[in-house]
Amino acid sequence: MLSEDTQNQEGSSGAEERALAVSCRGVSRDFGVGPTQTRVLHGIDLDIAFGGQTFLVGPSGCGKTTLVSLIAGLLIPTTGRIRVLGKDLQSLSPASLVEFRARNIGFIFQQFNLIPALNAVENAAVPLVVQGRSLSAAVKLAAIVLDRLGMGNYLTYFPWQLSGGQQQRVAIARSLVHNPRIIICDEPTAALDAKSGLAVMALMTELAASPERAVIVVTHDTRIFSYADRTISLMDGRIETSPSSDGQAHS
Amino acid sequence: MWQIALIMLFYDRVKYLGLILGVSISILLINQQVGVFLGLLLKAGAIIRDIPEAGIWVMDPGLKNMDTIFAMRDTELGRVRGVAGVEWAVPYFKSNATIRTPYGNLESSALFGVDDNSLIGIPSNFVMGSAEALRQPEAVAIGRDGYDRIWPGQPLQLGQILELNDHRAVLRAIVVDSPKFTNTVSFYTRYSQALSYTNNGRRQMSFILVKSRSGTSDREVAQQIAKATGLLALTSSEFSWKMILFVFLHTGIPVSIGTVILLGVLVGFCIVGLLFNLFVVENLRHFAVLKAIGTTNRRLLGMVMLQASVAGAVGYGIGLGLAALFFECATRSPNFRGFYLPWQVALASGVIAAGIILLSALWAMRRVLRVEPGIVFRG
Ligand SMILES: Nc1ncnc2c1ncn2[C@@H]1O[C@H](COP(=O)(O)OP(=O)(O)OP(=O)(O)O)[C@@H](O)[C@H]1O
Ligand SMILES: [Mg+2]
Repeated sequence: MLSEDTQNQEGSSGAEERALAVSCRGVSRDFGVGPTQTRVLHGIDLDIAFGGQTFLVGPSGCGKTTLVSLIAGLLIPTTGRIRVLGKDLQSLSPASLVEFRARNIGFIFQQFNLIPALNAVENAAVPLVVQGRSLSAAVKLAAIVLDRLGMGNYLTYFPWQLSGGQQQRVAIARSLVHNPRIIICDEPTAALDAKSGLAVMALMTELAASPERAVIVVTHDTRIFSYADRTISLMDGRIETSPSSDGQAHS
Repeated sequence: MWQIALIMLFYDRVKYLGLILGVSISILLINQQVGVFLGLLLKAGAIIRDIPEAGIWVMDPGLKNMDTIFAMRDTELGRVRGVAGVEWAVPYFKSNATIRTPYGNLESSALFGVDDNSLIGIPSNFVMGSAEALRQPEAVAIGRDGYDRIWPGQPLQLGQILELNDHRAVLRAIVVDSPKFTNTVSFYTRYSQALSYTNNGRRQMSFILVKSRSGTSDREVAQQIAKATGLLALTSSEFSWKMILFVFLHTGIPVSIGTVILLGVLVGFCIVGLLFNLFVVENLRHFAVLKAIGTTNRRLLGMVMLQASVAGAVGYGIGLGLAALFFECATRSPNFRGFYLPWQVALASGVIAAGIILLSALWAMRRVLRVEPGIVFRG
């Protein structure tokens, strides 16, 4: 309540920012202390709108993972301000930041990061359980999502019984199951062969991309560039070209 | 989340079983050793407990324990009887005796002689025969456990002839008595009969059993007796404690049992602490994933605590069950009769188990708290 009032006082620019999924202003991030301190990101200004998939590309070590970690609230910026879904992340207490993440952000990782003790459907159900649902109720909903991803026959398989592509589909189900408004994917296809990688991106485009949601994909896998609706290039911690509509998104 | 925590715990079977094993070994050792120790202490006062009629025991001041008895002159009996507040006082004889079994083996035994007239001092619980039967010449009663020792596997029966210190004795009764500290076989007979079986010279009377008049306290009467005779007079509970204290101070038993208990607790701590830490370290990435997905630190700590508690509770149950099984089986043998598992010890060991679990969990928790959720993006 209070935060909305303050945002209203910020005038039209505040209103615009609220319509954005993500907006970064002057964001930089340092690692290390003293003489080893290095600046990884330099004054990033960035807006990401809802709808479609925004690709974040650039050479290794340029700061892509650091940037999405900041957007997800897993890291805190050294300077600057990050708004996600209109919320100023720095204004949130640590506990409410965790809760904000639980409700609004889905993750897909290069290493899948499934929990080996849980079977496919239990893994996909985790975000709902984190939100406070019982495991049995969460599993029912997760089964529907897995089914849509073509994994209906593998619900009770454990991660080690699944191929990389199948594991990544379970991870996609986990990122979608609680219907978050932002999905962050860090190199979702890097650990997959070309065919599985393309299949995963096709599923992402079909199921994840929606006008209500922003999907951010960090990648340097050129094979999947055609799935980008927008591309942001990062070079040595700076945005190379202002975010531009790619226009020639895949059909 | 608690279900997920438990699935994670049970999934790592080796560590889960290791945790259970660590806790249960500790619990088993603590309960078994303390139970045996308390059983021994109880045995130290067995003879006293078997004669509840006697509120006061009078003895030579030099007496240390039941096996090194300085006998008194018979004339002391009259002096004790003359003390105000004494309702009755009877002689009581205890000595070691050698018995030749029907199979020709020699077995050491304890021989108790009780007042010829009143027969005070014979255990009151008769399996066969009666106190009156002991009035017959050469009559002895035997403790139930002793019977099994001398006639193993044979049905209970009376009338057998025995050789007690080379003298003839006839079995006239079988009684239930408390297990003694040293001897398994106990014989009970009349005082005069006991003297004829042994030859202790002028000093023959081991104890004088006294009952105080109603309206007087055992403590006061005991003090009167001590003042009048110069003998040591103790109430039965004081005497029991004296015997227990002897075990504590003059045998190696408390130290050796204490060492075993300490080792048990230490080993439990090490196994459980290390294994649980390993479990958490191996799951650290998964805890980080849960953190990234939006699990609060408090929830994660709850999960870790639950995992430790469940492993601890199961281990405690198994350890206690094994200890109970030990006492159940062991006490079937006459050598172990009287050992038991007091609930207070079971409870106290539960507190120790909880301590082991809590410290192990706290140690491992630091890592869970510190893990950066950002590591989930790294390979
Ligand atoms: N926790 C950290 N501590 C110190 N330095 C870090 C940390 N995280 C990242 N860095 C440094 O920041 C720089 C950018 O790292 P980042 O992981 O964001 O790059 P990236 O663009 O994701 O690279 P890649 O494509 O290889 O994944 C690197 O030089 C890295 O060494
Ligand atoms: Mg990266």
